[in-house]
Amino acid sequence: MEPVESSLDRNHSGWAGPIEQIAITEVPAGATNLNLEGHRLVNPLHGFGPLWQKTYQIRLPGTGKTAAEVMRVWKERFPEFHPAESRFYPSLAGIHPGEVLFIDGTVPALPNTPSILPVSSGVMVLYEDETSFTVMTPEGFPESGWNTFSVSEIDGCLYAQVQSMARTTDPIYEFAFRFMGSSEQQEKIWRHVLTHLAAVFGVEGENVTQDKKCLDPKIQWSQAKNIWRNAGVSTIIYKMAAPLRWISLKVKRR
Amino acid sequence: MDINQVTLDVRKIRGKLSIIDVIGDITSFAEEQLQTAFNQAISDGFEIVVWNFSQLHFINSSGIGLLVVLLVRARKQNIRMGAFGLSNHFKRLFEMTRLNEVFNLYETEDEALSGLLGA
Repeated sequence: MEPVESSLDRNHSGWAGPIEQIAITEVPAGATNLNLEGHRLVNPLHGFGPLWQKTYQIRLPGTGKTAAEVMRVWKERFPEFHPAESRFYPSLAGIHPGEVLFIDGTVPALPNTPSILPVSSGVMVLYEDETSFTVMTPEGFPESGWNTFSVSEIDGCLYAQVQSMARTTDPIYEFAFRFMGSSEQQEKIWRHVLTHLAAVFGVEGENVTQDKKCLDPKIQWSQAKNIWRNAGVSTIIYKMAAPLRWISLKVKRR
Repeated sequence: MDINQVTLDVRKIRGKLSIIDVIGDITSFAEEQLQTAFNQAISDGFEIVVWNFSQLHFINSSGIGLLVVLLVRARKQNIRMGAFGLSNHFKRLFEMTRLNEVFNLYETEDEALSGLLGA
C-alpha cells in the first residue's frame, strides 16, 4: 500500500502546544471523565508491546468532493462514524489541536464474545491540517502512540485512511490484543468508521484494505510498570464502586 | 504540488559522528530520503547521528512518525541520536510529542559536537 499524504496548507495546519499533563476544563454530555486528568501523553516509544504501524484505507470514488471537504465532514461528525463499543465525545470546540476527545469503550472478555468490559479514557488532538488530524494517547490508554486520520487524492480518486503507530501500553493490554480479541475488535472499529464515512458520501461496497507493519518486535519490559495506570482496570473498579458513591452522596445530602 | 520538499546532506565528522543537514519539510514524502540519509550517516561504522534542524521549515505528524521509526532503528543498532538548531516552535513540538526525552538536543553544532563527543 502506498503511503498517503495529506495536502499541506500551512495556513490550516497546527500543532497542539506542549503540556505537562492533561487538564480537563469541561466534560461533554454523556462522557465519563476518567483516566485523563493529570495523565501525561505518551508516544510510541513509551509503550510495552511490539511497535506496529497499522493502516486502514478505503476508496471514495465518485464523491465529487475534495479531500478537504471530506475531512471537514469527518471532523464535524466524527462520533457518528463510531460503533457502540467505541463512543467518542469531542469537546464543544470540536477537533482542534489541544482538544481532548473522551472515549467510552468496551472490550471483549474472551475472543469472539461481545464487548462487555468497560474502558473510559480519551485522546488529545495533537495535529490538524485541512486534510488530516492526529490524536495522541495518554498514560493508561490501551495503546501508546498516535492515530492519524487523513483523506488524500491518488490518481484522481479520494482515499480515506486511519493509520496508527503504537505499542500496547502494558502487559495486560498486550495479552488482550494477542489472545482476548482486542486486536480483532480494533480492526472491526476502523472498518466500521471508514465504511460509515464512505456511506455518507454515497459510496457503498468498497472494501477497507488493511496493512500491518511491525516496526519493532521488541517487548519493552521497562514499561511493564505502566500497568499501574491501566485505564481498563481503573474503569472496572470505578464502575464497581458506583453503589458506594451513590450511598456516600445520599449520606452527604442528609 | 512539488512533493520533493526536502534536501538532506550528510557530513561525516570526526569520532564516528555524522551530521544530517535538513533543508525543507519533513512529511511522509521524505521517507525514502530520510532512510537513505540515515543509512549513509551510519555507514562505515559511524555510531552517532546528529540532525541539523536549523533549516527545517515544516513537519507534520507523518514526519514525526518517520523520526520515531528512525529512533527505533537507531536503538536497535546502538546508534546515538542528537539534534540541534531547532526553532522555538519545533522545540515545543518535540516537547509535546516527548521526543525531547529521546533525542539529545543542543542549540548549536558546536554544542552538539562537544556534548556527544565529549570534547
